[in-house]
Amino acid sequence: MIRTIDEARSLLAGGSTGRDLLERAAARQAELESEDPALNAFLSTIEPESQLGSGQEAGPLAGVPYAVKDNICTPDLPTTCGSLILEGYRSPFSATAVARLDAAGARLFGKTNCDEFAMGSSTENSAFGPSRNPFDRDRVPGGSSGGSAAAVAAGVVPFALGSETGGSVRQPASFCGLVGLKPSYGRVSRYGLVAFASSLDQIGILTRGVRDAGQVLEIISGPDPRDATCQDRPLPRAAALDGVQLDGQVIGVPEEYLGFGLDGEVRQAFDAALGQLEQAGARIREVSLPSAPSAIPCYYVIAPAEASSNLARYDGVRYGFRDGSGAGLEDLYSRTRAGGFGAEVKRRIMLGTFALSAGYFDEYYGRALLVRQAIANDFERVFDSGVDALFTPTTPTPAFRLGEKIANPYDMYLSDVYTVSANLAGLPAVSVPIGNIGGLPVGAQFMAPRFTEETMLGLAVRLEELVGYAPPDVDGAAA
Amino acid sequence: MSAGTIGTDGWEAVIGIEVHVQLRTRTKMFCGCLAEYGAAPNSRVCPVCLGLPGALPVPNEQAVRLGVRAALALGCSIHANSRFDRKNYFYPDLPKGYQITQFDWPVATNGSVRIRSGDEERSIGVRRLHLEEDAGKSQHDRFDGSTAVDLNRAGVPLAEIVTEPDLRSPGEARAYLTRLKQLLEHFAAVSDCNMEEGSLRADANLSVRRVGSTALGTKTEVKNLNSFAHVEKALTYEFERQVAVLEAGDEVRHETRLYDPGASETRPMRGKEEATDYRYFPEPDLPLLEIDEAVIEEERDNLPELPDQLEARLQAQYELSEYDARLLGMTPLRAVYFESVVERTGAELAKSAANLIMGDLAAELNRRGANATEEQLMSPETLARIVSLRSEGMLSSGTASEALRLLIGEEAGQDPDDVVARHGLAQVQDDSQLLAWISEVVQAHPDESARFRGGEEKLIGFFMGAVMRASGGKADPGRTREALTGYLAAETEA
Amino acid sequence: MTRIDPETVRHVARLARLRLDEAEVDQLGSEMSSILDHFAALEEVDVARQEGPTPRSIDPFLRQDVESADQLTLPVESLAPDVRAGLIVVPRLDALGGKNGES
Ligand SMILES: [Mg+2]
Ligand SMILES: [Zn+2]
Repeated sequence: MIRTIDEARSLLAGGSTGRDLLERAAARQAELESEDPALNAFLSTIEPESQLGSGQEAGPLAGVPYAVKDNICTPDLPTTCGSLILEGYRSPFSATAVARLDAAGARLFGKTNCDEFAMGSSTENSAFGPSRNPFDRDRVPGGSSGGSAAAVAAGVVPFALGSETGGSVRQPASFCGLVGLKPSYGRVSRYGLVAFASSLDQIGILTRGVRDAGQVLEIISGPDPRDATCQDRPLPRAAALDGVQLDGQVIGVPEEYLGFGLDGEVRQAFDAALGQLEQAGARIREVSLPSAPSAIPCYYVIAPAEASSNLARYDGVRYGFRDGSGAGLEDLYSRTRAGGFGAEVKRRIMLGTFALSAGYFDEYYGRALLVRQAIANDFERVFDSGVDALFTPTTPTPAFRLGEKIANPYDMYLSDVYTVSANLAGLPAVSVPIGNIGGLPVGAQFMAPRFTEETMLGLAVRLEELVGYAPPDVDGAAA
Repeated sequence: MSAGTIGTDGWEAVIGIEVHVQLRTRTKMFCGCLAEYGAAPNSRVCPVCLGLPGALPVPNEQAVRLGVRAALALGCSIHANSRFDRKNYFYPDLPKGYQITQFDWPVATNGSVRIRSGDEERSIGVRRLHLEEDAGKSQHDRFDGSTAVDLNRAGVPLAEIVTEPDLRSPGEARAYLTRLKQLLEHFAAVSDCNMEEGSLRADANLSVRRVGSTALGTKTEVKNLNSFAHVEKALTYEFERQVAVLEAGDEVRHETRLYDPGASETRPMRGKEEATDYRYFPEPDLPLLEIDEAVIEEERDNLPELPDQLEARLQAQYELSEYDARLLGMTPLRAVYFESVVERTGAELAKSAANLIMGDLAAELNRRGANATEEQLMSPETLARIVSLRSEGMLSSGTASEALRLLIGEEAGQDPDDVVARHGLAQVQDDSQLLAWISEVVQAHPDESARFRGGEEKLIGFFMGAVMRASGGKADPGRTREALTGYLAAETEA
Repeated sequence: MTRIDPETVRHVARLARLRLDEAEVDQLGSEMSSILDHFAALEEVDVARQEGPTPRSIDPFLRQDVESADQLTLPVESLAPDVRAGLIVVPRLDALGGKNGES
């Protein structure tokens, strides 16, 4: 079991090689898969023997094993996006974030399970079966980066890349007692991140501690000539985190975020954490984000609309699954896509195509763009009024049961209620575990102005120190 | 069958033209693949233009500049902020399932192109110019029952230029396309504008109405126009077809029709039942396209003097006809060449310099094919010398042409005076030699000289020919005629 | 109550090239209707209309017109299941005619 980057480094210092650590990860993975029911966190892993031995372990993450969500391109392992339509697909190129981790000496161990094309909040939409929550195998690990969360929480690897479009890193982090970091939009290159909703997608990071997340963020951030939306900004330095003090910081709590079906116990854990921040010198201020109620509808028009266009390339013509049983081109398209996509992906493609279609465009997509601007303006007004960061629960409830929400799509969508706004406004956000309720972790999140990750992660480290969170000890989980 | 035949009297065509022009960049619009024509199939491709999962577009700065330059050449106003949008449709030569184009906010709008229609000049409105990426090339007949796709062209930069429906006849449509090609190929130099190779493609839309009415009839879109001639023929057919439909009391259907050059008719395109809904929306993978003033000014400086202004100046400055000014202003290079010749001969010889350029030199350029230039044939200094020799009477039009032929061919690069001398092209000036030839000819033809003296004046032509042959073409026609008439007249009196 | 009728579902499915059987048409019709029902909140937000393309707080970014150094060599037969003479071969669409001003 390898819990943190430092733990990996101490093993390496003790004489282990990068390959040894991969062997360790493989052993832990094998252990988890032998259990009944299996964790099902990984869709593919490397063969440790085939990997380089000691090699000069160079770079800030030399020899540290990591996992990557399966909608991020890696030439060494398939990139299926949790979908039949890309089963066995091998990308000829590497995502920029992965290339930067490799250059820093980190070692890719495996690709983690996710909701199909990152559409979902529980990994139940994966074509290869759901992953399970390491702390309760009947419950979801969250999604869509559920596999990455389960892998880190179960101690297979010390950190994993996930991806966020509407909360898909922070929500699983909250459900699995981890730190889940979503960078500002444009902070990390999206080259190699298979597109779901291009104006919302960001690669995110799942770790046990905030400092680890800060280290990984510094390495994968920065402008990329292959991504026109990736911004040229000073890198968020991990070392700067310790310089951030709580006193004098103004932390806003949006009143709307204390509604939306917030579980009473989660509210108590949240209030406790808020109290600790206050005692440590932070000034707490109640604020309002009036557009909050429109965030979910706004998201579930814009994201499906972009998805319907981004997934048009999966047509059976060039790569991936192909159903040529019909006659002519139209059959090839419609049968391939009907057979290759799961129910939720089809639902969102239909919703998105509808929202863009003639006669409905203005009422749905056109309107959603204007609402998105209003949501961003709400945040701007609050931050301009002197608030340094917002603090809210990450999810209304702890991890729900497998199958509990799958039948009612909108109910599933509501589990992103606290997270989608940061994606719509392009803000950085980080979820930090703040307690366990009935043996299940819950988290709270900071949201901050764009490109202020250093300050935000600094607040998160202080909170982490105050809370002193320890995951629930469940045999098999990484106690 | 030209426009305005009996069948369409009293009717007027309302035509708009939509042109796609491939911009002359090294690489494609949104990726670093070479945009060259003619490579092995599917060899100029990468994850981006193949539409592989995880690939992203990054716009080509030079393509934006060429688009701005083209728009300036068309008199458009350039917008500092424009936006890329997605045009969503499924087709095997469109790997991403959408084309990145500009819909709501194009890079340039409201320009115009002046054309000659009959004996008057008209201005055709250019509604907009926008940047987009090309699709791949599909072959429908290569393998039976299948479409074969080459994605080399997928992602190549295009400028799409859409006119207002200001064109009133197929002939004007052709005149517009000719002027547009001249502007974009030679003046803005942004594209080869080669219809055969597909670097310039045109679609037209046409409706008809009674002459004098301002209403707009139902229009059809006419596609598959592979040459300017086809454009005129297709639109002529479509114009007459629509008039016939209306005169029979039926209604013109809004549809897309393909021109079939073989049958020289347009036919409705099958399978086009419902208009395709392209679901345009802002391209989320790209920032706004911001073009700052400095770039616009730089591209404005890259433009030579444009044809309208150039032709007007040539007419005024060198007292040339509109026709000559148009020919000499065909390309900036030809105009510069002409002016550097006249700079040496003096403006009074402009017309004869023009004639040689439009005559002998143009003929040779046609033989050499598309992109040969006058400069390659001979230097302005050499041509200027020939023009001067011609005006001094040293060379006749025949010997001048001969001198040019030599200076283009085996005597290329030689000194013109030396060539004229070595080849004995200079016309004899002293009269004694001339009189010798004349008397020799007249003595040799007593009957003709008798008939001439008997009044058959036109025999002068016979004697002129004979003297030219006797002098090996070296006799100066003007002086020969003068001397010959005098000689024959003198004989008559004697 | 937004009602997405079967005809609209079939039309949208045609646009999205998704083959649906009648059961799926009904299922999606009701699911979409219930989801869209929740979108009334979109109407309640007061929004500011604006002239010109909506600014996207992303800096402009253009690349130089040079061939990218690390061009991947993608063997043509790897590009599609059916490659003949270097061309990607697919079943033919019934209607002839391309989209970009040529056919
Ligand atoms: Mg176009
Ligand atoms: Zn390319």
